[in-house]
Amino acid sequence: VTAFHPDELLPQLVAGGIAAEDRASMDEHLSRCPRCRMEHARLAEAAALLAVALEPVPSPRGARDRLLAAVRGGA
Amino acid sequence: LRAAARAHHEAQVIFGRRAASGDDDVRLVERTAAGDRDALGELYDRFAPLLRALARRMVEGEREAEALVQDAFVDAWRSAGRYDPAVVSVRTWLLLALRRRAVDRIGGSAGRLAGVAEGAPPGDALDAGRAAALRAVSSLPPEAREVLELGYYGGLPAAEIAGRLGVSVETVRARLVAGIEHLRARLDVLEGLS
Repeated sequence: VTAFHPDELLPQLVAGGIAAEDRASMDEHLSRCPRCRMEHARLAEAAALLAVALEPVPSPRGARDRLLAAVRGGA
Repeated sequence: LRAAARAHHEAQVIFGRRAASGDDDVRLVERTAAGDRDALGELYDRFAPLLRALARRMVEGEREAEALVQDAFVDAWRSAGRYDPAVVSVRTWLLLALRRRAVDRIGGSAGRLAGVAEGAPPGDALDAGRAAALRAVSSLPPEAREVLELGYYGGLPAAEIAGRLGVSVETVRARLVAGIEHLRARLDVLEGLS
């Protein structure tokens, strides 16, 4: 098996798009590699500033109730 | 001194450590993991406006945006038991869930692309955390900001960004890394103040 180099893909995972098959192998790797898990989080916290910088948008009426109804019954 | 106090406050807010009231974020996820829907509702109250802002930037249409936010919170409900506060903040954990759903929906074609400052109100109307984030984003080198906007908001793969900009995939990757590290350095400064 060829060595998988997730470090190269981590920036794309947190701040880009990534093909489903690449993401599946990333998820698998992250689930068993604490070092990559921490690095992934480190990058994700930084990229999150791009979201935090946006103007928050109030939730539409009823959206909260729809969510809670959706998870009722062990969804 | 006043500036230092303000920076300290900003740092607390920007990391989501300071809850406005009630349980802190991590406790809410623990309660959610135990099947407490009220806790999920509190997380929703706290973070849905942020997630919705990102969703609206990533997909077209209010309905699509709402579906994304709902999906992200349903994912949070299902995976709350695996949340590890030692690894990632609750806020970023939820944003990751939203982006994952959004990227699936977008499927390689950019959704809504617009600058981060679009529609920003005057500076004094911003909360401290958002103001600090805006300053960090505004300080990005233009090339890094461009690829981050296409990648983070557009949900585009590096190859797609490269095609749009007429540069190599390696260049896109390098700019993504440079941009994220730039933001990370800003976070680290704020964290050092907290």
